[in-house]
Amino acid sequence: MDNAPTTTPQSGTDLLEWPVIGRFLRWRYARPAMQLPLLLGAIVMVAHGFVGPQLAPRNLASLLTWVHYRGVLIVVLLVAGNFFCMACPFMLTRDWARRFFKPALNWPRWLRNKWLAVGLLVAVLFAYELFDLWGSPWWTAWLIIGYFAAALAVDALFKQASFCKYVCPIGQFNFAASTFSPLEVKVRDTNTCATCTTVDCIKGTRHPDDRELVLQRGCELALFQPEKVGNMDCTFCLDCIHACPHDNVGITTRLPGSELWDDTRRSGIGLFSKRKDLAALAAIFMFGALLNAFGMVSPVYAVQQWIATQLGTTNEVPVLAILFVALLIVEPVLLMGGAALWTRRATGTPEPLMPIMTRFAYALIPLACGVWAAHYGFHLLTGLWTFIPVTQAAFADFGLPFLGEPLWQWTGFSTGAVYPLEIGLISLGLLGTLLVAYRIAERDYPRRARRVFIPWAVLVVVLWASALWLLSQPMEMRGTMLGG
Amino acid sequence: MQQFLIRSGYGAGMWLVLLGLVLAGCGRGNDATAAIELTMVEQASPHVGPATVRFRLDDTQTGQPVTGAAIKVEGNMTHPGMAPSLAEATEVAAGTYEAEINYTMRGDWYLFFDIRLADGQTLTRQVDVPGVTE
Repeated sequence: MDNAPTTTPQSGTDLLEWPVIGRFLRWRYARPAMQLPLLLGAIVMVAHGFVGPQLAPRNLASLLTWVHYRGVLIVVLLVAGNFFCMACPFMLTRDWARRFFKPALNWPRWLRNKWLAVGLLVAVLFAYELFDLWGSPWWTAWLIIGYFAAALAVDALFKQASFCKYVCPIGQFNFAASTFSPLEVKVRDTNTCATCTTVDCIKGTRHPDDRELVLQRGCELALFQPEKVGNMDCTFCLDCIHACPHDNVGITTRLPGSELWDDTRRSGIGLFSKRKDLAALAAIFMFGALLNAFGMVSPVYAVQQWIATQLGTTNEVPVLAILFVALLIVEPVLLMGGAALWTRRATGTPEPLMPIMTRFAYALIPLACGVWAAHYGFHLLTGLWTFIPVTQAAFADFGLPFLGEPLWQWTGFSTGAVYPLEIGLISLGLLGTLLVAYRIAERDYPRRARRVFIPWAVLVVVLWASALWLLSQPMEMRGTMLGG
Repeated sequence: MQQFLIRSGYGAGMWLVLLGLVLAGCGRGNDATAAIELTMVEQASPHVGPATVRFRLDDTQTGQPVTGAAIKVEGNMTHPGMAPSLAEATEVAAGTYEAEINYTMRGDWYLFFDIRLADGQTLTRQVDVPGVTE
């Protein structure tokens, strides 16, 4: 294998230099100030989920979670960065809990990878389909509470940001998507770091007289700024920015996705090319996007009915399990394994298939972002204004009808108007993925880049075409999959 | 300030969990209009497109049809965020009402009836319309 070093493009604009936004982000209470509104929103959603109408379109728990939160999340990730991890309300409650429960344990070494989190991400996708979470305000409210409880429990026991780095399924989704974000938390001048002796960005700042007293945290995700590359594992918590005594960390612009072909060693991560768990996350991020969209169109019911007939069952669990294994394990292995085999033949080397698949898996992320954005963007835009009447009705439900008669006719854009946007997002994702795949081919096989690129280009075009096919199918959203 | 925000956050989080546990056990109060029963008389088989929804309102205590009610009907999907189909029902016979609903997409729908009785009492009823097909 030919391996040529690559460079990360130098950053452009620094968000911290912007007049209003920069000043706000430099404020040391910026993060809690962003977390508090989301926490209050979560409280309202949970309350409405339990006592409000158990009709998903009329309940804030289900509406805001499955329409607005998901949609705005992917939009913000793709136009800015991981600001939803920054504003994560789970971390606000966890920070206060840690004033009482000092975690004593280190996260187990054998779990210091993404396998558990990838499994949980798949479990969430599975539960979403099995229990039709989108249709149940009550279960959605419990899901929110469960999330708070899990974050509290994990981080009450284990040091650092163990929940964010090794457990949180939403966090892994955000980490994967943020590799295609235009903003990155990054050192401004590496020369300054070269002369730094305190490394506050990773160690934090402690009281001079009481070394146990932390005045400012360093990075809890083990990302040492001078050796940090890209957004993977970065929650945009701003701790490093506040900790650096040299004001040498910024939030800078970059070419989205450029870190995906950068295989330099990363602090807290290592080499992308050696991380099978991260490659699996990228693959699940891609094929999970197709699976999640597949669950919304008519053919999925025919497929499920066929599987159920073959099994002679009306139990949805084995049927869904087969579908998930087929689409999240068998399909990726066959398609990516086929492309890797083709690559090996094109290069004439006896290289094992797994390392090839691992290196090229990251190229799938831009297309996956396009599919997620098309899917969640569809729900966001077609239901954009629905939060207004539901909020009016929710306040009325709580005995506060001061917002007036609910404007139920307020919905959003028509499906026809959103369709071209969906095609555009998926096609932009395709272009990004083709670019990343070519740069990886160029990096690893500089003399045979074009020949190596072809199988991966074929693969991503197949995935792109399948995403377009999914969009062209009649939508059908049912909670009764097996004719129940 | 940070102390305040973090403390508020934790306090709110604890309240959140407590609220969930309390509210999860909450039930609805008695409905004074519980005797009013809504029965679907005729509903065009659930296919995508316009459909006439015909239903009856009866007082199960007196056995009499409920006449003169003003009824708003919302047809919507069980998935949140979809465009609802809204209509006002008209009374076509004593206690029998009709509304025109447009099922715009395949899938599970429900009909939500917002009813104001002639004496000013209000009530709501819901009817599931699963599996709308082409």
